[in-house]
Amino acid sequence: MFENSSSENPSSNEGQQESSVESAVENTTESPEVVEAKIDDNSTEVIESGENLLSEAASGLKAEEVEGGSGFLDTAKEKMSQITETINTLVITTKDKIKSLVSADSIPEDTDETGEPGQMSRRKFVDISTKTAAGVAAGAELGLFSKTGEASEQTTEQENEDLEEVNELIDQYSEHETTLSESEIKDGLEQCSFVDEVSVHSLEIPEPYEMFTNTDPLKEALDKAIASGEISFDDESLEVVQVDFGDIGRFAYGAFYQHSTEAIFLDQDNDKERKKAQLEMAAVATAITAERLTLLTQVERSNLSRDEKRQKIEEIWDAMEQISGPATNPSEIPALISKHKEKVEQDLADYMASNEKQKVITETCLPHEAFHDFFKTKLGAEGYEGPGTAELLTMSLKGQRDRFGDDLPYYSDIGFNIEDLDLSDDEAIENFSTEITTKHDLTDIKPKPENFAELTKEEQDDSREKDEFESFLNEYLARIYNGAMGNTPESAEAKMDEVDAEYDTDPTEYEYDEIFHKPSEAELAMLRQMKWQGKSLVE
Amino acid sequence: MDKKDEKNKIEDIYDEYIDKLRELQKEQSKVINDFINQVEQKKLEKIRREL
Repeated sequence: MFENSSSENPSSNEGQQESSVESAVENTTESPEVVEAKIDDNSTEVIESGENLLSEAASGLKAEEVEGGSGFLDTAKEKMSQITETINTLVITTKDKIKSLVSADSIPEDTDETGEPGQMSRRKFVDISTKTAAGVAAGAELGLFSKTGEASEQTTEQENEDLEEVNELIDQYSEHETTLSESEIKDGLEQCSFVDEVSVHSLEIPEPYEMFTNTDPLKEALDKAIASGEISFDDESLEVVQVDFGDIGRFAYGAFYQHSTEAIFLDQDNDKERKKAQLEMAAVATAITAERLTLLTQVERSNLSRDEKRQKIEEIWDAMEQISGPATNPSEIPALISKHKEKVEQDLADYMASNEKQKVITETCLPHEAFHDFFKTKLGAEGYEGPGTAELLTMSLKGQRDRFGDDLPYYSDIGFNIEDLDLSDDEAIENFSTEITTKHDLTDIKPKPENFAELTKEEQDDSREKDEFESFLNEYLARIYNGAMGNTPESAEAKMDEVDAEYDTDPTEYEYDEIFHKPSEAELAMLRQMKWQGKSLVE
Repeated sequence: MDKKDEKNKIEDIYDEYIDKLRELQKEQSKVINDFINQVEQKKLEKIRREL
């Protein structure tokens, strides 16, 4: 009944999805009852898959262990319920429209007793696309895929041409520079008036990070490089170290400041051979996943019974979830890449866009990270003139209140400490800040005491309180300073949009308002008062 | 209304339904992606803060 009429040679998965729907309609309108059953079936699938995916994401990310994670989940669930309600309403109104068309004496034709075909839902398609990225990472980690470009004798001329085009794209992308150059770093830091000299180093990690090992590859490599004289830090310069964050197990932002070494670390990814290998793996992973999607659609349109279909779909779905699952014969890969070329090229563009965005993030964070060095080494030291920490904390608490109200930004851990503070009362904030900064020297940043567990509860609470206020103040000031240097939510988003326009990719939804702050006039005035060796932080 | 007209009308209704369902799937996808981004941002910020 539901012949596979259009999936032999789909130009893309997207196109295939479209034709799947059209074909099903042609075949089902023989009977209004079958159409109604299909409406029930695919709406249920959309609802269930959406809700399941949200649950899977929450559990995979261990969202409830993350600060604010439960709140995010509740909000997402509420939005998902609203969508479910809209779908249910859509189903009722659509069925009503069909009923009103059908005459009362209409006799339904015999339908396939296997029931309605499980329509391949678009939700599932979207999910598979998302999983491809995870598959790429897993594949790269495990080195499972053979390289493309090694076409077998059976490869057709068309496949060879397609493969060549994909390889050219991979070559072009792997040659593209996505690491900041030394001059770009120095230019980015030149605007920081408190920075005189900048030393840029590149650090290789001989023994990269591995999961489930309790090692610190960054510390080991840095200690070794300093001991051998390969890298030398001096007191005069701001030290910047470029290192591949993947090698040190920091799958995070493009930059961070380390208090113990007083150095800024920037992500670099200039190993072109490795980049090329990752792109090749990405191409193969995409082609394999896309092919499995085709198999899914074929099963759904087959004449198998409903239970058989469900079982086969589950099997394919399981295989898709673990890209390292059932082996794909390497000789089949050129044909798969050729067949799914459009999707492969789009995924490669996504990969490049994400590399470019990483570079943008790194660049826009330079003054922010430099400010952390100012906070650690210069704020309150000899040579510093300007407001003290009580005044700075007062301004930051007011600034946080004015920007976020009671809904604290993700970098602020002080919620519990300010529970009893009336944030609408400026004088109360000033008194509170004086009290906190009298109790703790927030500029004296020290690692957590080794004997923390042996401290009394009161001592532990004090230690936490100091860390939380230091961290909040340090982060808030770094953000407004970075904003004063031109890195605002608007400017960062515009730079990201440029990358998306270049690669024709979808925007990444960063929390621009929380990562970047445009300083208020009062905050700018405060930054102007802050001086290092006579020079204001902001002109 | 003859059978052919009825079939065409049902096709139109079904097409309209599928288009709307697709839009709602996109909404679902956006909700999930937003949620993942929020949680990941938190995690990344925590790592960053701990350094």
